[in-house]
Amino acid sequence: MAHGFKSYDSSGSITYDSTSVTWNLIGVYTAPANSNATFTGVTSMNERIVVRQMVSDDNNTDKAYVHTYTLVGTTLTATRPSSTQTQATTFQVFGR
Amino acid sequence: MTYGLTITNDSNQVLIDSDLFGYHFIGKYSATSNTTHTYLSDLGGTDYWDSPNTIDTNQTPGRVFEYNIDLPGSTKPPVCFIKPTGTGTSARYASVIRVWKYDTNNWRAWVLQSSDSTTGPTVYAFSTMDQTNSTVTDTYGLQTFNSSGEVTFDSRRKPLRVIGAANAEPTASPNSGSLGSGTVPYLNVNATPNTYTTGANTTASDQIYYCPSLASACYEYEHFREESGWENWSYYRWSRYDIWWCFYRSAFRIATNNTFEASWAIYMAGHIWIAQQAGSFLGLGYLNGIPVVGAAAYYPYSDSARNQGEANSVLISKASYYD
Repeated sequence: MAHGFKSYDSSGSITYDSTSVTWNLIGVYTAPANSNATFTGVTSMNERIVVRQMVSDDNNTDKAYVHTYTLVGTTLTATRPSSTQTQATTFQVFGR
Repeated sequence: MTYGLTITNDSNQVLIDSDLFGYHFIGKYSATSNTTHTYLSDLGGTDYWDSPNTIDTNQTPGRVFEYNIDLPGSTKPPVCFIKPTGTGTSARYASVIRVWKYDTNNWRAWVLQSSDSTTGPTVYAFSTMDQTNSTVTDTYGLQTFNSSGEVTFDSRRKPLRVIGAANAEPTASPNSGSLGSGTVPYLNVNATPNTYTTGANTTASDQIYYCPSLASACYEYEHFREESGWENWSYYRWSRYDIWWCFYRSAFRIATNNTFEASWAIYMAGHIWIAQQAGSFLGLGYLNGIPVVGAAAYYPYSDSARNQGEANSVLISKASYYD
């Protein structure tokens, strides 16, 4: 690289390289099952992406609905598609 | 920020921000068990045909692999990247279909892989620094702290390095064309996958991806048959009603160095049937219809998809960063 930085461990292996445009975790938010939820204070960055993951220890809910969402400014709004069949959903918001 | 460290590149993309918890590598995991999910149910009745009474080869379920991820005391689920068993446009599809807190020290994850192979993917798990209490002994590296004094980045713990991203969703349906004929269902996935450019641009076989499955679908093939005549001294008319169904989850694969494909894999396959014989023309009509399923057998839901239009973000990294 012409500019940037690399970090190494004591054996000389690269552990981080600034040419990797990594995504930083802005926050993890969990919307409860069958409920709407609003999360504020979500840091604004140039680019953000959201990864959703349904979290459940109940195997019978694997056919459930996932929350839909909007991320506007610093507010993440999670909406249940169903009041009885929406699974708890974890939102991982990344930014860079 | 008033204090701290922010590192950006020429595109003004933030590489490190000491106010934000970055993900760090916590381990590489092989499956602790695997299984296929099928459901067979004979709902009764004297069955003249007594066949077929199995899961058809045209509804072959994928295999579910279970992983145990030790993360003592954590409250946030780990991020589970999949290192698939193969790449390319003929490779198996795989996706994380379930994650849950198993006990105080462990999370469990299920990965569904298309095909019945018992060779499963490898999971590369990541967590934020506030969720792990493991120790490192290396004394070289870079740490950042937030305003509360918590470590947010630690180069000794192999920070997550993302080399590509996309936004993916599976095709509208796992199947196209006829779903069956006679007593043969056609329920295996035959959809052409959706393809996305990731920008990873590195050797496909070295790539790992994070894209939990959101979408599910359930489709069925029903067949009703009846005949009449003198079967024996007791029966004049007989019938049988079958439903073959498959429950699908969205699944993914690394297609090329720079592309990612989204499709489906069969999570569970089922076959339900009921039969009847009668000594007259009367009494067989109730077999012909879906209500028999709801009465006594497991069936996820009928002929539709859920979360299908919900695209999910994909993150791509390299296994060799952490091996």
